[in-house]
Amino acid sequence: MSQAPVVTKRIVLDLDRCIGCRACGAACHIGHNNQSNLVPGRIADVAILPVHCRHCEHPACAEACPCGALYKHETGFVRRSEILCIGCRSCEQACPFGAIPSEFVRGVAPKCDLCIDRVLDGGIPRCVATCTAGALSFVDPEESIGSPSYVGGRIQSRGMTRRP
Amino acid sequence: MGCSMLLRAGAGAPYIGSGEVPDLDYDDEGRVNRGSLCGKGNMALELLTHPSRLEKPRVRSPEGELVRASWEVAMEDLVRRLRAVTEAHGPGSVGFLLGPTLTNEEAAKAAQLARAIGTPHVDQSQPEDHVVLKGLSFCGAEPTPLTEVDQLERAKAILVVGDLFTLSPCMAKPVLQMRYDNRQNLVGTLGFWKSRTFLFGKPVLRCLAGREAAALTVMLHHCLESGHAKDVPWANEVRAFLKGLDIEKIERLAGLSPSDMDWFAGALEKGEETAVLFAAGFAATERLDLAAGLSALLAEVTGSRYLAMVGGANAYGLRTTLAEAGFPGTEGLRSAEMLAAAGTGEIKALFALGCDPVGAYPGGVFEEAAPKLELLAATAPLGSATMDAAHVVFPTGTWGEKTGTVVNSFGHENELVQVMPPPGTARTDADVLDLLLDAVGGQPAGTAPPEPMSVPAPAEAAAAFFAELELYLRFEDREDGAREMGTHWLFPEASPGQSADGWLTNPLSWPQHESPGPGIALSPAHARELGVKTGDRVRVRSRDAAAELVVRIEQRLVEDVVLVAPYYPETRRLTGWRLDGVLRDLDLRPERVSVEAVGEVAR
Ligand code: SF4
Ligand code: SF4
Repeated sequence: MSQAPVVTKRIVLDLDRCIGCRACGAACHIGHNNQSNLVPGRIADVAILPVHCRHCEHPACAEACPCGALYKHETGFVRRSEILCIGCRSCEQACPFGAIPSEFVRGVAPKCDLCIDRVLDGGIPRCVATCTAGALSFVDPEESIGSPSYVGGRIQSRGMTRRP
Repeated sequence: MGCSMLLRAGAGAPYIGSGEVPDLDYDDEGRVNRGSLCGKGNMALELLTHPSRLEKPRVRSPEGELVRASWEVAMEDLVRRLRAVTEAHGPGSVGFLLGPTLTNEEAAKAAQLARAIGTPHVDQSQPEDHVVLKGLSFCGAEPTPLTEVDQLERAKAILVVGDLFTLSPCMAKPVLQMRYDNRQNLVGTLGFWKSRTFLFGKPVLRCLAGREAAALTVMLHHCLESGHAKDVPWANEVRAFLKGLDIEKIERLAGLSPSDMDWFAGALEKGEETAVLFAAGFAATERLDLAAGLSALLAEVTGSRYLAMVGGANAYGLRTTLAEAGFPGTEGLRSAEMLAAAGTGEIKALFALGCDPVGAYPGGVFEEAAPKLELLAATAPLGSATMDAAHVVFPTGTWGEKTGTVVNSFGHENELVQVMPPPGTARTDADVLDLLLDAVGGQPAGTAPPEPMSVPAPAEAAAAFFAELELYLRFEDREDGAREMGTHWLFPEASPGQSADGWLTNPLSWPQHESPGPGIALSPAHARELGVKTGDRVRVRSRDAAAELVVRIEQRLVEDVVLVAPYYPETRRLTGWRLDGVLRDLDLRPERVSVEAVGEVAR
């Protein structure tokens, strides 16, 4: 079997553009067996933005998981095994971004899989494709350095951008 | 707005399972949406695979139960009931309401059937569209339509009336593209609270709650006086009309000053392209008809491209198809009138094709009228309140399950391609209409085609429009600014997952999970005054309804307004929307409500 390629692209949210329509959540929801892996993040009741998994280099969620249900996959994705997860919520506590939704579906932690089924076929994640405002993009953080939406290291550290 | 999407049969992602499971793809070639889809668009996939899809027809048994039946039995039952109605009350007691998921071909078939029966009453189902369209056709303006999103990108100033991004999220991409990538562009939004669009507007044109029509009058006046007006035939007449008004008072009551328009005037001065988008749908303003008409007048006089957001994706095609067939003609009742006529007993049989008038009709007015019908026939992919009240129900296919054409709000024709058959014994609306055409074909019918649509002479229509406007702008029925303590205005809250035809998405899981629910949004000051916080319950009273609702504090809301999503049985009567008995039209004005905290239980 051929080795799966390493995917270095990640989802980046342009804070200036998101209109909070939550189409990304809907796309995630229909694409993942009626379970959205995006956290609707509320900002002081004024705006709603999707909080998405960064697929960290050193994932805190995986470290916190007592069952080894979360692990760094060879593709670079942080994956979750539905069978191993016992729904203990350690990952929810551990994730520094709050990217694990608090609503557990079928007793297991919802976890962004970066739409691996599409991405390995050369596609883009559903949330990025559907975004009504062009606020989400699927980019290589390294490559986006120097792009107009890149502001000093922020993409890498936060998965978000904002114009100066 | 009529976005395109790609459905693939049997291409389900590993999560969905294998077999004949469809998958959704985003159409980068989409002329309007360019690949994006709103929450509701995404739901098309869930609708296809929903576990409670209707698979068999249903008929009302003599005991009053809705029971499953074969197509033959259901069709026989329908034809028998229809005959009974036409024989007893004449063919003019039959009406047809056509939902936004019907194709042009299906609309043409419905028109054919109506003609075979001999009734002039056929219209699209969304009553608030009727209100907007009336304003647009009466005002006398003929602005250049916006036909491509590129035109938006080229525009240097865009005036948005209402909450575009909630009504048509698919428009966010081109609008924000120009807002951010071409920094000279301005998107001005007119509204009264920091709606989703308002947050992105620059500049924002804030008017008093619901006073968009008054604010637009101020703008129109400003444009006509400032010398930026294009040479349009009606300009002088309208100038004279505006001269007769107390503009200063209107400015005060609108809460908008003429200088708020400078950004727009600036673009006009430079001869740059501009656009006006009307998106104050679903009664989120005091006078939807006047605001729509005024926005069109403003667009024409400033030479701006114009688009009014109305109805479902296919409303445009539906309307033009019906109009070509002569519906609704001189004699024909429009959607709102038809539902009113059901209440008074003039309409005895109603076909609700792909729509849910009982569940989605503002104010729940039709809920009361429905039991008076001798025949209510419905076609739908999923159960609805109309189905619960119907005598006969046929399960029908939806997007991806039928072939045909639809025309979206931009006037673009889109092909629908069938990728999978409807579930169970379900067929398409076209099939249902064919069967009915066969069945009623032998009936002696009033075969004369209806008189073409009655549009009053332009001058007469415009006179009526301006008379209405003048009456409204007197603000006789409301005090100057000050409002009674504890009395607030209730406005309908739109949400990304739901809209006026909430029936389509209500039973689906994502909107249920994501929408605001049957709660109430209060401004922080209002909540403080009542001593409530998010999650507490309050009692809301309107003219003829009361409900206990869960509070959500909305930082962006102005003090004298509360927001309620009107698509739930608990909330839809609170809006106070009703049919004006005299005009036989919709009265969509916001309702005054009182809100009080419900006493704490545990203390
Ligand atoms: S869930 Fe949180 S900690 Fe885990 S990989 Fe994603 S962002 Fe990192
Ligand atoms: S689809 Fe795009 S605009 Fe809508 S909530 Fe998601 S990121 Fe924001």
